[in-house]
Amino acid sequence: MQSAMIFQQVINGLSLGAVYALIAVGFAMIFNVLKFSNFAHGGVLGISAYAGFIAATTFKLPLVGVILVGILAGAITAVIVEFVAFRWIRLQKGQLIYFFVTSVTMLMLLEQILIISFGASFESFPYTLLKVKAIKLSNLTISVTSLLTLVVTIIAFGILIYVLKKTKVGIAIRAASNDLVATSLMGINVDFVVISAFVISGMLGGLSGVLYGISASLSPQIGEIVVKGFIASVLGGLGSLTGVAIAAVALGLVEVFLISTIGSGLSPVVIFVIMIVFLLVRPQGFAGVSFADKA
Amino acid sequence: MKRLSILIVVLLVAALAMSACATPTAAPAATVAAATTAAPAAAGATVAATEAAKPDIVIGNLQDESGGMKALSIVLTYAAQMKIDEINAAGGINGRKIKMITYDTQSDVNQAINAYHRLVEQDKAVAVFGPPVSNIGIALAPVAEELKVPIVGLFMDDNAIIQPNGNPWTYMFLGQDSAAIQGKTIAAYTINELKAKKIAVLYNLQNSYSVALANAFDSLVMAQGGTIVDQETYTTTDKDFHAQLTKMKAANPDAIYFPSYPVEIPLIYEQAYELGITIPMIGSNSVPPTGLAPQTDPAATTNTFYPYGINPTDPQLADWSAKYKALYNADPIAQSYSGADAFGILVQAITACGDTVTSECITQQVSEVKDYQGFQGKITMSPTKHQPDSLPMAIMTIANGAPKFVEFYTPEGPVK
Repeated sequence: MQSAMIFQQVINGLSLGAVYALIAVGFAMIFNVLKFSNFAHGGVLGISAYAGFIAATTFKLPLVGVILVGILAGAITAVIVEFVAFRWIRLQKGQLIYFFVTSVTMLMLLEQILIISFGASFESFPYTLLKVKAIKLSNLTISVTSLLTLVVTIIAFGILIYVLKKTKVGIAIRAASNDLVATSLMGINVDFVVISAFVISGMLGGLSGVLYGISASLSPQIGEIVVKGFIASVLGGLGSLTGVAIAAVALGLVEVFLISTIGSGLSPVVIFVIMIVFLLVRPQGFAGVSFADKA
Repeated sequence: MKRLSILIVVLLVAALAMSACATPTAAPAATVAAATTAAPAAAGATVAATEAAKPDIVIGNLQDESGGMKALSIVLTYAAQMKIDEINAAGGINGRKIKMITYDTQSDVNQAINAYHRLVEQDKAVAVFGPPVSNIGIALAPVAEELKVPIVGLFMDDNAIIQPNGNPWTYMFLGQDSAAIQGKTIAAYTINELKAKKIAVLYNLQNSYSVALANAFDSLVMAQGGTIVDQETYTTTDKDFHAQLTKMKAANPDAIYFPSYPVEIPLIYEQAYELGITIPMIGSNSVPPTGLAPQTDPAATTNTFYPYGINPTDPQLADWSAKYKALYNADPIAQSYSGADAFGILVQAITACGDTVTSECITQQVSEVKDYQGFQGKITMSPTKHQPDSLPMAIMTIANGAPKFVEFYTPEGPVK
């Protein structure tokens, strides 16, 4: 029974970590290119989750349709955010602090738009979205929501890696992440690269918003989960997408372990202590700046 | 750079402005419900003129109209409004109409305190109808002691009505069974009728309602020889309960008790179901209507029991329920009836004050309410506990997604 419970908790941790990984990689994508922590990513996540909710409830779309609507909404919202909030600062060569302050402001703005549109109360995706709730394997029960999150996350990362390594856009983003100025001097359209990074980041945000909304519930504050993405990014090393993804999964596992041992109240305290220790001891994160596939 | 700074300031101001619009503070959210019904039949001109000159009786109403507790809180406004319309249509109380001023608290303690101040100091309310939110009740209790305007509500934690020294808060009154009674009632049912001896408990450690129910439940279970095999906690922002439920399942309990708020209940049902938990899930009086919401799989709520203020199939409730449904296009829930009782007690106290409707008089009269015939039964307010002497509770279950009455129960056992 004990080993079954531990295995079950590992599955719980992995599925939680998978959502965190989607959020964290979308978050880190913008850091790689523009070198600031984009908390507006939480707002993108929230808008996308509600777009998916409307697709599921008003238009009665099936799961695949709901996910695609979420991804599309994420991409569009991220582009609007870039255009409204960040482009002007970038063109003016503004300091990083301006990007940071604006990103927090955009998170608040998008949250308030959701409150105005949907009220401050919570909503749930229809339970009929998933026909089967759980798969039983011996003593283990695997939630289909968790499994879905894991599988979709793996597929999304597979596509992301392909795009970054094999397509011109991806290679341009990787080049821009090393040096935006040098990239522009080499004749690459920086605006296009930045927009592309926001589109990819927004798609990941949209995907994570819908998946998190299905497994949890919706409220205008859903975007605040981006803090978990930020923690994972710090632990993983903001320069490495792979490092961030690994850190996010590790964060999910540690969180589940802490909740089941010291309880939900103390768990965030320990996680923030771990983050502070990491910042003091290894500020570059465990992946470090020399991680092989720095995006 | 200057233009850049302006852009950032504009964005910040826009966000704050949106915040102000969307998060209704007490003032802009206020709604006034006064004489919405026709004036009484014509009387003599002199009498009519005299009565028209009488000022309205202002009652404040603090409810969550847009936050996480909206489902359980807004029904209190509905119940109060029905009573007000009825009274005002009949000419008011001693010729004075009732005017209710509602502020949206969004279940936020600070907003509730600010709104209470505004009701007392600006709107001159003589009494306040309170929300079904214990955290707010606890926060308001010392403020009410200072401002001396009584609050009658459904805040179930005893700490909202009883001071640490054991004396009641002078101006705080509860219109239904407290968490102590409700927790013990459902614990007694779990032990005696479901024959569950090993029980796991999951509660919100940041919510006094949840903590108070869990404590009362635990104490009775242990007093009757049962065991709490696992006790797990969560916080208000938690959405994922898989870790706690997995650990609880591993403890092999006979039942799980989860005194939670509406925002958490569907998630706990769904996630327990996903993890293959099939033992009885014992809830609190917050289970309906969220546990039955269209978004919750009926299969996840097949083996659940929870306490409820009334038996929904009681024929004596039919007329009022029909009026309620006609007005609000929704079936009343337990909090509708408990709310109607709490507001009825307040109205009875105001009526008893005659021509001297003051907060002090209302406070005195509420504490002396005896045999008020409410939907929950005959209510006599305990002067030492400021809550009804224990009322029996209906035990409910859910069958095919619909609530079903089982029997009336008390901490001592079934009601004969």
